[in-house]
Amino acid sequence: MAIQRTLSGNPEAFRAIVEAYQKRLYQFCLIRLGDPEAASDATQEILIRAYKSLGTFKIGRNFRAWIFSIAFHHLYSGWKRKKRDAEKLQRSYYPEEVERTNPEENLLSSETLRELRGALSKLKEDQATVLYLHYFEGLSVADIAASLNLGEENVKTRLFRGRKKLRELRFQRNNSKN
Amino acid sequence: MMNCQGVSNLLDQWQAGEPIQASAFSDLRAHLKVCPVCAQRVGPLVPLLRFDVLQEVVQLSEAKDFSIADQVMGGILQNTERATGAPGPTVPEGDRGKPLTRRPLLRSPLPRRTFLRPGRIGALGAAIAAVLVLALGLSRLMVPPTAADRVVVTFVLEAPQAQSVAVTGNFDNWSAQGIPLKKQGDGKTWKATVTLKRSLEYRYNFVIDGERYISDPRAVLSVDDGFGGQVSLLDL
Repeated sequence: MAIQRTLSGNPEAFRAIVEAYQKRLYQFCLIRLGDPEAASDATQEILIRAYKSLGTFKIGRNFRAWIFSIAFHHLYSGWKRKKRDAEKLQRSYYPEEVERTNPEENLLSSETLRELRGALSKLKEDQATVLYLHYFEGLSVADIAASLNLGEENVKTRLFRGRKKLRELRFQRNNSKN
Repeated sequence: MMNCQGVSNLLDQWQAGEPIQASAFSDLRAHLKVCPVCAQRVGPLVPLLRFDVLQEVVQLSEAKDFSIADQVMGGILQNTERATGAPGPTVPEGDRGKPLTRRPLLRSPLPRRTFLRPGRIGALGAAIAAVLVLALGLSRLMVPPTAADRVVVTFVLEAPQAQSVAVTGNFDNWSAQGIPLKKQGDGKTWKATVTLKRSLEYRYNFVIDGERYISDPRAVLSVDDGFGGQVSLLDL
């Protein structure tokens, strides 16, 4: 009932929404921006924008898809302007060197996830976003399509291209070391 | 045992969006444990395959201790205290009910849920509610003839222990006070009659004693609101 209570004039009720989504949004922003401080600022701005726009949400629909559409548009609107800076930040936050640990025991370690994050940050915005919403947020193709105002086939195409690109990144790295 | 070529074939399948068997995923992981070359180049993709096979979303860890709730709420509350003109959530005029042509109610992607949750409703006693949409012919007797696009709706809730009952939704901008229901002579039934625009989709809750939001137990459709409650839908 957090949405109803907030809309009825109880802003403190919005805290439940903040607490439920702040980490998810922060992770999303961190992957796209690469810098923890910038990601934190963006997360705050997205949540405040969500608060102001809450009246446009149709209660009962997929809130996660709705709030991530705000996040996407927020990041995308500033993305072109900050692209150069963001690229620098990504390079600094996701170092290319990878610790040499035992790969057999490391399939789902933080190092593996760091590599995955780094790979995602190298994808085009549209591909990275749909991959993130699908694999990290568990949104269906239909939900992503509604969230980003795209057709479902378009989302499937972006998922396909994103997976293809991720594979190429991995094989490229491997080949370059051989 | 899967070999390196098998890994490549499996990734082709995954890349194309084709379903992957759980057994093939297990074989992949077994191979990666003994093949450092494949582990290095495929390992970071394993969490994504895991989602496609097992529907387990990828969990990251760096946000574990992240919290900006106080900062966000501080900013929101500060703005709200600035009385008039304070920014806040508003329901645009056009969103206080959408034409059904935009999103037919029966085509909702949301799962249909049962109306009554014994645990939730039980505390209210034997609460029973009904929305009575009067027929057009009857509504003409109750509203001006010029309002042919209007429908008279009576919200009814049986809540014997309630001190007050209101109904609120996108038709009144989810107002704090809502539209009050009047207690009937039987001492347990509450009613309010309102006139709403026809051909729109409404979402609403009853508010018991000014604080407890409940869905309409007899609504045609109530859906999860995403935060532990339900909202009822009314299709006029």
